[in-house]
Amino acid sequence: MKRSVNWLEVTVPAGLAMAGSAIFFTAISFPTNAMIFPVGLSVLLVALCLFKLGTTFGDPKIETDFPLSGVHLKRFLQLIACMAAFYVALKWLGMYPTMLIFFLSLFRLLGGLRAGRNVILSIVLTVALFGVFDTLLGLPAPAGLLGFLKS
Amino acid sequence: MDVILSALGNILTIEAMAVLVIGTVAGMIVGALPGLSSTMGVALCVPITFVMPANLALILLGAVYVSSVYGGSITSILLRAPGTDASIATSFDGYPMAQQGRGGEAVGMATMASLVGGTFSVMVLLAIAPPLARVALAFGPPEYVLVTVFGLITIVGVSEGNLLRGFMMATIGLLFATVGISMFTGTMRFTFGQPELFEGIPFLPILIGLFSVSQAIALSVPVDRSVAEVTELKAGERIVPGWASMRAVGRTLTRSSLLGVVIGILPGAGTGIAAFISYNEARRKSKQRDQFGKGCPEGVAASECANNAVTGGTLVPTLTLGIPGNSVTAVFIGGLTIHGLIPGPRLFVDYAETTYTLILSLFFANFLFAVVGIALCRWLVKITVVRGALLGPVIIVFAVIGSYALRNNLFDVALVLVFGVAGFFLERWRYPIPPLVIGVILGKILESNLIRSKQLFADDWSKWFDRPLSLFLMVLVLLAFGYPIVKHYRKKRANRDLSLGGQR
Repeated sequence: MKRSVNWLEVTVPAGLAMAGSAIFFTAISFPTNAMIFPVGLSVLLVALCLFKLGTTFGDPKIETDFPLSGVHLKRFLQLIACMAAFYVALKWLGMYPTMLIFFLSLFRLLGGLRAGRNVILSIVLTVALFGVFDTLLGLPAPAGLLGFLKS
Repeated sequence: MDVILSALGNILTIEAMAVLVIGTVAGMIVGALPGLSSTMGVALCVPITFVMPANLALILLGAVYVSSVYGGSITSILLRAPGTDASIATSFDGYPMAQQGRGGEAVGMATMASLVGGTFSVMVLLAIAPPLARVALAFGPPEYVLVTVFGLITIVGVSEGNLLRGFMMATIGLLFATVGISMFTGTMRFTFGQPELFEGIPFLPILIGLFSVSQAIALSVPVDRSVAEVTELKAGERIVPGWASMRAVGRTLTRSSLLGVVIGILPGAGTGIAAFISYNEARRKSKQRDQFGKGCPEGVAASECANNAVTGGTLVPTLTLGIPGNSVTAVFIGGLTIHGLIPGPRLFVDYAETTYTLILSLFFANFLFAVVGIALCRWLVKITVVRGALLGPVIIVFAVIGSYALRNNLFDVALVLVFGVAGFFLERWRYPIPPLVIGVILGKILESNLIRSKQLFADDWSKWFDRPLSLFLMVLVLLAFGYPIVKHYRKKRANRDLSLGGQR
């Protein structure tokens, strides 16, 4: 097996070190009592990241990380797209209609359910969650443009 | 005594009992499902408790916590699919017992051992938490700084093989806690003009994202795994172990209960570590040493007793000092704060009745999971056939509903989703999440007490050494800091010696 520096072991600490530096330069303009803690922590973070980078280059490890690829990457991207769409649609469609669409899409894409089963399971779950969270517990949820139907 | 009787009265109501049963069953299901952790179960329940009175809320969270630790044992024994890391050691002897047709005996032993360990830990919590809280009332700002640093370092210290990453994560967590208006100067720090950040990053969405959504993503991404062969329990098989069986493991139960409670009290070490240490100790001390790993009831008892004994132990530093012992109790702190209860020594003074209601409800939860576990173990195993790709979206929806309910704010939903994705990658890249979460929770305590100490001593840091309690805590901090580093370098040297030996 090839002994090489894992790119994740470099980019993650390097990115964090840059973020730490940005925090440091922002925080030094704060008044003393507001500055001490973030400045101290940002210096510590940069030092830890540099130490991590030093150990990574000093002792390269055998490649062990498995970046997402192939079918896993596809499923991950599908899930993230559905989560983003869920978030955007929440405001407009309201919690429960969005939830139904979210279930329908993900059960089809990731669960591989057939259309009939998918529809039944999604509707049953949405109605059950509406019953528990809205009717029983009365938890607030975004009503969306269809909110007038409820009132 | 009056407080304890009032607390008992709070539990012995129909509502409280119903919540206890719901929490116990929900916790057992979470514990039984591989991939779902106790932390995730409690994190998802916290927002639901928002609409409940504080007493009922804490009863629910306590029941979910203790029963989820036990729930993993059933699938661990009958499927060799431990629901949580707490039950991995249980499968070493539990699964061979099930294969030999002694599944009922193994489940029964696990249940009784969990009951013994759990009940013992609650007794210890009840006995030592109030006096410890009285001691903690004498703490000033410097002592709080040192206790907080001690808690953080010990949590980082158990990030086995990830010491440096653990420190990095804890530092990032502490930095997250600096977001918002400074309580000493009123300065806006890192808010980017977002009104939602003026009071700081709310830590419950961070917890829900890191512990629940990240696990939901991890469950959904892989193509569905095949479930191990289920070892069915025989119809009419006796599950509750007899007196003779319990006497045979009496010493193991005593030792494991003590080990579990002590490990639970120490910040950082959790149920999994306790179960492994206890299992090894039981094997070392047992007369049937050679039977371990082949289906020895003593192994099941040792592991299950210790992991449940941790539950009460972890609540000792959480309730008395406000320092979470592990990630579940970190979430617990979130549950306490949304009801206006600030964990720490004042909890036993200002909210004594609610605090004792929580502690006493844990007794009931322990007995209840034993009864429910024995009654439902056959059906609980069947739940594990639910596919991850179907479970993941449901967990994400739970997390979204819960996070929105906290402040009626879509910003919190965005936080949950972003931290969920971040948590998924942090796990994959082996950056430990608990130090990050504990850093977020302890950040404000640490900063406020640090600045107060600075003001108290007029910038003269040498005054820290004049206080005996501070000095004692400083020694503890130094030991906690030095031990994992020495251990890390010793291990590294041993590995190098081993590889050099191999080359020769």
